[in-house]
Amino acid sequence: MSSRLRRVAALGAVAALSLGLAACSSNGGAGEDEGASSGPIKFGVALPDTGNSAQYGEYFRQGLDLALEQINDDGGIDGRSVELVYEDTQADPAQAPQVAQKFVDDESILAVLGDFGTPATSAASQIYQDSGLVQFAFSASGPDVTDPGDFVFATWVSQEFEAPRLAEFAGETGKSAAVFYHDTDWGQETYGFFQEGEEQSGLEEVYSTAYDPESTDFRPLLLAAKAANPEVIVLISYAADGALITSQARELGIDTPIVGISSIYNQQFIDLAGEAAEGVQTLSYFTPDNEDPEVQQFIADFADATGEATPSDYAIRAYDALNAVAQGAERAEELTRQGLRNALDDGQPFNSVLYGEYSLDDTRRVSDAEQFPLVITDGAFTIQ
Amino acid sequence: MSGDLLDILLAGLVSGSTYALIAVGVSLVFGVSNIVNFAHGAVFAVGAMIAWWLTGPMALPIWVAAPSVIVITGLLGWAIYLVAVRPLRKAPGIAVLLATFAIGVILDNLSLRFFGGQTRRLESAFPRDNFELLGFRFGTLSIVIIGVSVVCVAALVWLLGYTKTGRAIRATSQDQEAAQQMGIPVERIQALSFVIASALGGLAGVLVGMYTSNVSPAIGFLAGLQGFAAATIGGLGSIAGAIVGGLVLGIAEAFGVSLWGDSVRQLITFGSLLLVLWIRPGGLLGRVPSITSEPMTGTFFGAGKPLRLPSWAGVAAAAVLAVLPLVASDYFLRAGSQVWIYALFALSITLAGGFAGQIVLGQAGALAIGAYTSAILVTQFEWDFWLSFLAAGAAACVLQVMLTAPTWRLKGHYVSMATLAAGAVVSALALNLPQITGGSRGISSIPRPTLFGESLGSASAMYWVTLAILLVAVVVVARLGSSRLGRVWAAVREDEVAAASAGLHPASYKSLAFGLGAVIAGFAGALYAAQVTFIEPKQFDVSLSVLAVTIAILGGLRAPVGVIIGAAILVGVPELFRPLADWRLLLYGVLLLGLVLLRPQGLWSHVGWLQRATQRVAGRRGGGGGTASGSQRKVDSTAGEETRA
Repeated sequence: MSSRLRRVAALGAVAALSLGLAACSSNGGAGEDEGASSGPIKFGVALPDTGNSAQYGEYFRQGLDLALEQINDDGGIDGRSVELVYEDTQADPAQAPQVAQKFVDDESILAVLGDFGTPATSAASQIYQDSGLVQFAFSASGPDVTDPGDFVFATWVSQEFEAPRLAEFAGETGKSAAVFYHDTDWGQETYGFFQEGEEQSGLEEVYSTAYDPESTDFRPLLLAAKAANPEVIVLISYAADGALITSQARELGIDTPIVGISSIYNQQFIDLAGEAAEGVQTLSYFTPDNEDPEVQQFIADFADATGEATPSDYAIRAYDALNAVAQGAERAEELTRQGLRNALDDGQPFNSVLYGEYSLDDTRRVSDAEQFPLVITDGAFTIQ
Repeated sequence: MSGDLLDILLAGLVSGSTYALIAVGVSLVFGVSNIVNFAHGAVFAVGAMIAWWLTGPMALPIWVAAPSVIVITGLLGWAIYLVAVRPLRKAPGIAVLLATFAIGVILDNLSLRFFGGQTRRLESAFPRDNFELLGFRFGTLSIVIIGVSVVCVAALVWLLGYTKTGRAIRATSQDQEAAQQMGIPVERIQALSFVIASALGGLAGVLVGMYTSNVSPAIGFLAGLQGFAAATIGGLGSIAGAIVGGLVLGIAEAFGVSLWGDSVRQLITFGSLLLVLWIRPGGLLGRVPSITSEPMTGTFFGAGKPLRLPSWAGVAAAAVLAVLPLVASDYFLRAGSQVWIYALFALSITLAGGFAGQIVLGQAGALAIGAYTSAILVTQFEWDFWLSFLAAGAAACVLQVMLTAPTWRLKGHYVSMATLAAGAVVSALALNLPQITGGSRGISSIPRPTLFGESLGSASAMYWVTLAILLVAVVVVARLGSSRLGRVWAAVREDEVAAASAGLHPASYKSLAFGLGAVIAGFAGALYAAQVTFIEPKQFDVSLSVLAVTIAILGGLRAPVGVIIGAAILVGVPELFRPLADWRLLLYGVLLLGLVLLRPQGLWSHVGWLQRATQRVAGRRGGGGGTASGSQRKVDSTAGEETRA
């Protein structure tokens, strides 16, 4: 008798499990909002809220929340308010497709912004493309990001243009370089284009090394670089690890000038490296010294909203991305996924803080934009 | 290419001293309680973040902040002991290990929520570059770090050697039961070891945080693993060994990294860990403990008596799962295939763990080999997916068996650690062989499998394929368990000495179970690559191995069917948490901890209170009728045996 009860219990458990699973399936699927023209307009955001890249997710939210507030204060899009649906991917390529599928299934979502970095972004692209939902990638700089198809857009200037310019810029500081680059898809790709730039600008490379951005001790690498006697150290880094390399170099008594790629443009770099940051140079699309009234207005609004005087590159990119998608939605003839895609791809210009007025080329990317040479003096990025 | 050798040696010594400081805490807890404390890295990170918070936003001077950190992390250690260790004192080491891992996840994510994810600068209280020796610049801070490590050893040597408490600690570490009988308050001693170790971990967080100057809530896991590697290299349980291990590791890494670049760091850490376990398992200064009944075997697996699923119920359940695609959304189905793949992956743990009694902590290595084999064959050599699927199983088996062959003569924790190291070495190799694996860039655009020319890329097709393979594998493994071979494994598991004297060769049978497990993990890897379509070395880290072990254990180690439930809970439920974004991983940690604490014997086994309730009902209804109560007594007695075993 007890064995029968046991059977019932087992069966009950299985049934409960499958019911539970089936129940969770329904919350993503139902799309009763479809075609409704009065409810809020929803965009998805795929970003890292947890995990090792969580800090970039925080930057994204700063920019997105500010843009969202401004859009809704101005009356939304065609009188409809805008909502953002955030989903955490940890910027993990294994989780990004899951989130993509979830957005695709939710028919009220008109477009998706994100993810952080090329790997997580690309891992999801095929699902967006196959289902006809716009993926607006604002933080992915791989040269092939938009290859999956016409629903994928990318606003980061390809490293194809940025990296050779960095080589030329570094060449103005010294004739021989030691290059530190991320041992990631982004770092390898960028380093490849940087080498092409070295050849063109006659910069000699005396040392180069890939490194894990999560490493904490760069002294062995710096000692090896020092032995090669470079005239300039080039960082293809993010702000946090770039700052660490910079401060450890100065501690070891290496006073070679340091030039970093635009990703180090972040107040965090100065906060983390402290004194050692002085004199570090970079090229950036953004500078608080830009006198454009729109840029100045943005800086003031950002400080009001977050209490931070200097917005990071990532927050600005996120801010611009939501505005671009909103501008596309304004222009769209009909506000559907397809309609929005067509509007974003109509060749007309977008307004942004980072690039000023820009338009997308036929690969749906920002082809190139002006960069300002900056140097850190007295704890701030200033125009050279 | 390399800098001055002496410079590098000094840089290695200085960074090695930071490993040593972390390793001391790991070694202390292991020595006293025979527990691998996976929460130690998290305590370290919490210490660093509190130090930043107190000296930064709170603007307190360091001489207030540092003692506060020590007190807070010491209390944290006590809390860890109370929450994760004491309730499991009768459970085997692996349950405690998983509980401390869960605590680590919880602490990391609490700290992330409280302090934010940004990397912060921890101002150093001591200069970092005021000395120069033979051209190498270092600072007072490095001397303080080395000094603190040495003082710790001296203090612990004195405590252990010359005090009553020390004698009690040593007695406890040698034989808990005997110590208890002699009137030693074993629990208090173990609690004390957690308090001291965690306070040291917090102090390490302050000092190492100052040394690297960048701190963030995410630094704990890697630091914990490095400390653990250093402690094992030096000899687990030996405090002086922890320091020697830390320095050796630091110097080896410094030379390796300056010669071959940063990517070899992990390879050196885990490669040397594996090598030490092969050649000198007790570590440089330690000894393999002579306790013969180690905590991993016997007791634990007996505790969970697997439920027997009647075949009609199994068929019905499979049918329900199989028709789900007709009603469920694509998102649900993609999540579903993910769950089946993880279940298959965990099934490989069931083989070695449940049948042969050997917990494998590095199974992500086998998954990685399978995933890479299939991905490379499909993308570069245009193989058919199903051929690559078979090759993935074979490659995982061969490579894993080779990597772990020398470790099967080890016992208890040491095997688990050797497999952990082997798994990490696989991931590190994938990073360091870019010609084959694409290195850090990984392999992208892995095509979806096809069957008879039809693409299986759709969500429902992937769901069906993965479910079908999983069900077949579950049935095969279950059959294997009740075969003659399964009985030999049971003999090896229950009593290795008896099995050996009966003419069986335990190491070979364990290796066989492990090899067959690797085949299944390799299959799972091929499916994983096809599902995710992008693989890179970082996906196959230690957390993934721990996840697989947790799924297998929660499912009930001896019940192959259990992995389905385990995976549904541990992979499916976190998917449900997704809307909770920030709190998701925290809830995962709480879920993990709750499950380990409440059901250390697994979910797919008898539930005590439920069984008692059914017995009471049955007893009342049977009213003393001969057959009913007879069969019931039989159930009772077998259950009793299982718990005692």
